[in-house]
Amino acid sequence: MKLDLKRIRKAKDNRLTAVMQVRNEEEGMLEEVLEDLSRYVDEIAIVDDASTDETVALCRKYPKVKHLMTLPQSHFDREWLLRKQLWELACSTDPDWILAVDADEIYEDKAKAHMRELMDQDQFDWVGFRLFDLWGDRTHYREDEHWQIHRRHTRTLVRYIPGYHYFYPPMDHHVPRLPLSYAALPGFLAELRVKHYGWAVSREKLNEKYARYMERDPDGRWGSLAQYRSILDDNPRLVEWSDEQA
Amino acid sequence: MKYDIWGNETWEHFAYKQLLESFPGGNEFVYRGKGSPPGSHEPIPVRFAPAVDLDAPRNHEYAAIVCSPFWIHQALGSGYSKVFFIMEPCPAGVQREVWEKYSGLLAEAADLIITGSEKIYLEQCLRRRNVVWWDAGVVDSGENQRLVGTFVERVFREESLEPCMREQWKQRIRAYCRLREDVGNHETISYLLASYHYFLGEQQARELLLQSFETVLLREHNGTLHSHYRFLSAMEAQQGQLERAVYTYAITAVLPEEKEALARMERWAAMDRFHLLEAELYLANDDFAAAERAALEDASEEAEHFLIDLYLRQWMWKKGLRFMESLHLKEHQGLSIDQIRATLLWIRNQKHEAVTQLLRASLLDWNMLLAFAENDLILRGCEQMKERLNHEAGSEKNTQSEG
Repeated sequence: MKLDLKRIRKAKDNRLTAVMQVRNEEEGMLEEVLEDLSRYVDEIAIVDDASTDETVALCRKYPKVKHLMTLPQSHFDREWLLRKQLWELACSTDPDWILAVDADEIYEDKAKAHMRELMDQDQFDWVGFRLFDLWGDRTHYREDEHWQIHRRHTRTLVRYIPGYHYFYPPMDHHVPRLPLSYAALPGFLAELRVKHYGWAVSREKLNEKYARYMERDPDGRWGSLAQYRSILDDNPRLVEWSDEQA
Repeated sequence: MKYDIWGNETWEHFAYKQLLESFPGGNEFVYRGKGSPPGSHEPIPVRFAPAVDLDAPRNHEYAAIVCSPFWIHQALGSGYSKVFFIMEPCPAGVQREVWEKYSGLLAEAADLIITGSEKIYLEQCLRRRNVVWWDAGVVDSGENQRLVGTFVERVFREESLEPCMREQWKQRIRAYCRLREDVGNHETISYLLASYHYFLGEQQARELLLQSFETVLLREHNGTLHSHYRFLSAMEAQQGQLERAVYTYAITAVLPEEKEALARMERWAAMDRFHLLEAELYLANDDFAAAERAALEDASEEAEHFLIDLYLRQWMWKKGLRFMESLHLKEHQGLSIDQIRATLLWIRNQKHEAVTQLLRASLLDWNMLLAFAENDLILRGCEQMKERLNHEAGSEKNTQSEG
């Protein structure tokens, strides 16, 4: 009997596939993110959630975007389905490692420099990073009782093990970006940071985002109403971001 | 049939009175220890006799019901026709290693293991095919009581207990399906259902285990890789999907010793030694009974070494000794054949022969003498039990002198 176990925990020559779900990102920072990813990942897989602007055309401009699925109808209110579709698209490319990125996230240089080391080993199957919510502009992140995601690690880089049991909790919102079953595999919590620019926007945009959250989840079923309300804080506690040497 | 009961409490506090009602008809029970207070209403007729070493072996009319490994000499050295071992968890204040070793040795020699703990029941089902779970009269009492009776009858008729074991697994499945209807999806219920379907060799086990795996992860109890995910590899092996089973095991093989086991599996696979491969997979899942069956099918010297290791680690020393003798092995994993022989003699109350054996072996390795310290622990445990059962609560008048 010939067993093929080499794919389970390959310690070298691992390829990195970035995965992203997008919707109407033309005016956002999608180009900047794709530009940045193209420098350090091997390929990119994207699910477009029925964008009505030029998002798809924009994605096609980047040669590393090798897999692009466009949905005719939005699944925004069934997030787990959207996550699942993106996951299945990623798996269909037979990846070694998968990096789940949002269209408004940039890994700090030091994280990018260590990315290959994190993958080329046989001890752990996922990596958690610290995500920082940049707020208002690109120089500060927010830190208070409602905004402290950077205090814990978020799993965004995972080894793809064919045949493992992957599942997402069937929730409409706030679904983890990668299958929950990674929690059963050994992981590594890296002291490396990711800049999330989703809140690094003008006052008007913050108001729009607040309105969108409240419309989508008026009873706070999927998230905290207090956190939604805190989006409108006049003087949030901001801490200056400082880049570290790679 | 006549039974000597070697309890673990005085009769007044004996927890298994109701169990005795399941023993099929016309019985005479002799409880070793002080009797109940005067005027007590007893559910079954019972005589009392002091808990002392017997002067002469019992004749074959007597069987023993034993509730503690501290009674191992009485159980195995008194000529009983059958031994029923009521297995309990290690009590507080007792050295766990010693308790488990002598429980294991007694279990190997017993004709039937009865337990009220479902955890012990499941663990024992993974080791042998003469185990019954007693529900302590709590649920499905009639059904359970009848089944315990059938087990006992079959022991006396020396018939296979496998059909009864299968019946009990089916009963447990029915009970947990009812419970799931009441309380909804719960990770423990799904896990237990998966386990019982696995014992029955049924494919539903996989789906139920995955249900449990998902529920556990949703509740953020993340240490499920070994307890849940690896179990899938045993199920796959059972269904004949060996390649897939090794692959599943490999996903869970993270620690150095797990990777060593994986390397062995790869070696057996490369040599097309499928029974040994299967045995390794079952062993990695603590299914010792299935591992034993698979290795016995292989019938090679490598399989015999595998079995010796399994038997010695699981306190199935009589079987282990047989294989060591056939391979002319003087020791295995630091355990000498003399020490094993001495222990097996000692638990059968052949103390003189056991001591001679140990002293002879100690000429070559003085570490053998450490076995005396362990024996002493058992003897002291036994003396304490006698003291408690003979002199604690109860009526002097009810105790008749016997044996």
